[in-house]
Amino acid sequence: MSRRGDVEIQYIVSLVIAIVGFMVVLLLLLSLNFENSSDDQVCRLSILSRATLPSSGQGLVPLKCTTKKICITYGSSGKCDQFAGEKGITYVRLSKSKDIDSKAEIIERQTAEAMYNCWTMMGEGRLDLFEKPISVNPLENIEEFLKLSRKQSSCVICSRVALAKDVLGQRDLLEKVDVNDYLFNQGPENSEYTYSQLFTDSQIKAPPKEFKDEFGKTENNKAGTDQLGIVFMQIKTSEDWIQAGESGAIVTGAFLVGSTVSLGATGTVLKIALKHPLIALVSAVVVVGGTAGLRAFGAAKDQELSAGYCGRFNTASEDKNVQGCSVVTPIDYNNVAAVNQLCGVIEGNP
Amino acid sequence: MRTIKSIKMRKKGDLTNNILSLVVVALGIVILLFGFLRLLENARDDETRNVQRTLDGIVEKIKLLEDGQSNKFLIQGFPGANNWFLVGWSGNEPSRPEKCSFESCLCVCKGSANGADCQSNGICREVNYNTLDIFSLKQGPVGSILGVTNSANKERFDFLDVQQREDFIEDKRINLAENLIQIKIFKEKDKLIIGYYNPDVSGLSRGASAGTH
Repeated sequence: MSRRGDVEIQYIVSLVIAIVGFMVVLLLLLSLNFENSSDDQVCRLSILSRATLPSSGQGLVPLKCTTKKICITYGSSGKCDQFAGEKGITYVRLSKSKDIDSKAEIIERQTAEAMYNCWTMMGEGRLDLFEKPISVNPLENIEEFLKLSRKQSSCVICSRVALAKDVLGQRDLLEKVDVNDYLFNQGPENSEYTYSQLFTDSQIKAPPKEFKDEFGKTENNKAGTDQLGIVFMQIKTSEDWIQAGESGAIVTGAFLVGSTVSLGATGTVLKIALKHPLIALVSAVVVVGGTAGLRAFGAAKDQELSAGYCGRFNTASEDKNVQGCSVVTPIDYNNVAAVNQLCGVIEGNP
Repeated sequence: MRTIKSIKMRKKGDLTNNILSLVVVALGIVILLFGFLRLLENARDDETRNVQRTLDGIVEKIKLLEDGQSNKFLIQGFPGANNWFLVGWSGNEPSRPEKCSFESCLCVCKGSANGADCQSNGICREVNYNTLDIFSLKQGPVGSILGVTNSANKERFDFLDVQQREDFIEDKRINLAENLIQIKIFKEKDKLIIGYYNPDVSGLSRGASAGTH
């Protein structure tokens, strides 16, 4: 009799534990309410959820990242026409009393921070976030690869940084803005590293002369814009052509990229890597004048750097062989062709 | 040697264990199904919210224009956007959705975006203009079946500041996209025109024929 009693008690206890356990899970699912969390928390949570799912299920979890709208203006009443009718705008007010260098630095910092925040939010390009892999090998057919990339690449527009009319009129100020220089010499608050080091696994502090020369060539100069989109783009591949490429071994990992030149984490400058998927994609956007800086229209030497990563993605799912390239790039948001050249699909919320 | 009684006791124990397993499995399936449905619902809610946000953004941009003024605006895409169309009905059009009551209205709708579709699967905002003219220019079927030219007229191309193309047709809807599109809005006291030029040749597969409503 006592044994029978033991079995029944054990049975009831197990059943109660099971039911309570399921109720806890159920409550967690019911509390899947993102409304009261901050935009960044919600975005990060959705990114992590997606990165831990197998490719086939990633489409079920929408990326809940809302594009930040940053308006740089003078005074307390200045507004950015670029955000007409839109909500959730953050205003960065430049003080007229400050000297021109300080004001230029504020604009540089806004762009650099927006790029870095986007990069870290998206897992530094190492997370597997989007569904569709590209099956064409760029080493064999770069044209077809670019065509497919335009359709299948997925983007998140992390931020839009715009200049109000009152700032656009300050040509002297805008001529001083040099985001690339800021990336190499400054870092986030409380960080001992510069942005360039953080983008490249703490390796690149100052660019080699060769890189500067190549990047500063007249054909690589682009006109500025009054509105930058800080875009995170990822392409996923089904084959291991990243490593296999002629420059694959050098470019695998984190690196900086601009026009037709890239700067690898080891400080190696690559000029001939047009067959490299990421460089090819960024170059294609440069051709249509897409990557630009926040400067007056027509300002010279205004092509900005992008940060990239190519290699295997970290994934908790069963797809252990997922790889591809990610990039965070400042792009002329007014240039629809350039944005669409880079982004087949824009995810997240406008 | 086992007695009949001990065999019966063991069977009862097995049954108890099996019931427990069954309950756990059943609850597990319920939870999984529930979680899956929650995720789907979440994704669908996001799409609707983005549609709402897009439409409200357009309405706000219209409000910011002065009478007689026009401007170009960017519409940022979102997943699923290419299933949705921006359409409009003037106050005197009989085919408009009931939710527009007696006013002119601007809607973003799924499906073929006619009045019935918009009534059941669309979001609408009333606007105070007697005449609403929404159109897009996109690549159409090259050469129509009856040999009748159905290419869009030059005025439409001029409005959008693009060169006229014979192989382009006019659609009375604007197909939203999953990337970026640029629309042009012109506002007068009693008239509102919204136009979009779709240079994408693959647009043919999205909104197959010129829609009417």
